[in-house]
Amino acid sequence: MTLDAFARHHQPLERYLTRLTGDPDLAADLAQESFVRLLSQDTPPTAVKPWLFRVATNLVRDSARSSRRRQVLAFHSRAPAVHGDPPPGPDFEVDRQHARCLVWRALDPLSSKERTALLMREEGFRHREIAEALGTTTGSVGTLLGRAIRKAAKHLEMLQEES
Amino acid sequence: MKTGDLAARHLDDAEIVRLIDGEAAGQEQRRWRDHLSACARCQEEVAAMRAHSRTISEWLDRADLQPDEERATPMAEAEGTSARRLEARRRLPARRSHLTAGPWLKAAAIILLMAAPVMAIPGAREWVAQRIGTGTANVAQAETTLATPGEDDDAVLIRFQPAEGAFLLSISTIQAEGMVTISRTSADGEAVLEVGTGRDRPQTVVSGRGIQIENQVTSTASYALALPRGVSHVLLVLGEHRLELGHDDIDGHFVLSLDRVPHDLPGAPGH
Repeated sequence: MTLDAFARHHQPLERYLTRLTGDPDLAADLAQESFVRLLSQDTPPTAVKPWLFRVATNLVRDSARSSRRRQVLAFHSRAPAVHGDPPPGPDFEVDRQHARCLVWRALDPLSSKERTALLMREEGFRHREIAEALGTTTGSVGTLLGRAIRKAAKHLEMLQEES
Repeated sequence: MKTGDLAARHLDDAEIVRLIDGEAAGQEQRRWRDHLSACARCQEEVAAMRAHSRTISEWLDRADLQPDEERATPMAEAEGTSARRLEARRRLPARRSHLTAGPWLKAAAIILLMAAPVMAIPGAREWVAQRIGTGTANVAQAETTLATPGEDDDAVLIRFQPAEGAFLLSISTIQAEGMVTISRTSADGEAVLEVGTGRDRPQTVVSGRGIQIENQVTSTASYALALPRGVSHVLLVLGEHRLELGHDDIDGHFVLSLDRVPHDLPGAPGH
C-alpha cells in the first residue's frame, strides 16, 4: 500500500513542495517526512494523495515558523546566480534556472494560503480538497485562487519585461 | 457563491475560477453560463483568467524540467510548442477529471473503432482490454470512478465527441507509433487536421461535425488537430464510461500518445 503510494505520489508531492518552499532540499526532506507519517498510521487514510498533501502543507507551515530564515536564505542563494552571472553549462540549465527564479519571484508576493491554493490546483486537486488542506471553506478557495492567479500572472509579466 | 441577480452584476474572480475549474454545477453553472453567453465583458474576463492560468502553468512546467526532458519531439515542432513544455505537460498529473497523456499512453496504446474487424478476433480483444484496463486504472487515480472493463463489454471503443457542440473525433485501427495532439486553436471556426511531422505535412480542413482517422498497423504518423475555438467541452467516451475534457485541457494541447504494437499481437493485420 505505502510502496504503491510512494510510487504514485512521491514525485508530484516533491514537485509541489519544491514549488511551495523554493528549496529542493527542504522539499525532499518534507516529502520523506510525509511518507514516514503515512507509514506510522494505524489505519491508512482512505484518500492517500489528499492526505499526503495536507500533511506536507502542514509541515511546510511548521517549518516556515521554525526556520523562516532558512527559506529566505535558500531563495536568495539561488536568485542572483541566474540574474547576475549564470553558471557555465548547457543552455538548458540556464533556461531552467531562469524559469525557476522567475517563478519563485512571481509567487513570493502571494500570501501563504494563496500560494498553497494555487500550487495544489496545479496538482489537480479539487477546491474541496484544497479547502481541507488550508482549513478553510470551499467557497473561499475560489476567492483565494482568483487573487493568486491574477497576482502571479501580473508579477510574471512584470518580471519578464524586466529580464 | 453569490446568489445576487447576475443581470445586475458581473461574475467575480471567485466565480470565474470556479467556472473554469469545473467546480460550478447545476443551477449555479447554468445561471453563470447564461450570463456569459450574453455578457462580452465577462467573456473577456473568463478568457483572461484562463490565459493567466495557462501562463502560470507553462512557467511552472519550465521551472520543473529535468535535463533528460530536453529533447525535441516532432509534434512540438508541428505545434510550434517547445519540446520541454510538451514533455512537462505529458508528465504532469491531470487537473480535475483531466486526462493527460500519461494515463492515456497506455489507454491509447491501441485505438479501435467499434466495428473494426480486428475486434472480432479474441486475441486482439484481450490485448486491447488489457491495455484499456491499465489506462482505466490510471484514470481512476484521478478520482474518476471507473470499473475495469470486462472482456465482453465495449470498453475497447474510444471516441471523442463534444458535450454540447457537434464535433466528433473517432480514431480507428491499430497505430504502431505516433501522437495525436488536439488543440483548440483554430480561430476561423474550421477544424484542421495535419498529418505527419515534416514541413510539407498535408493539412486538411475537416467538417465541423467531426472526423474519423484510420491508421494502418505500421503507421508512425502523428496528427495535429486544431479544433475551432468555439468548440466547448469534449467528451471522451470509453465504453460506457464518459470523461470530460475541459477547455484548459484542449488549450493545453491535449496529447494522445500511441505506443508501438508488439509484433506478436494475435489478430493484428499481417500477423
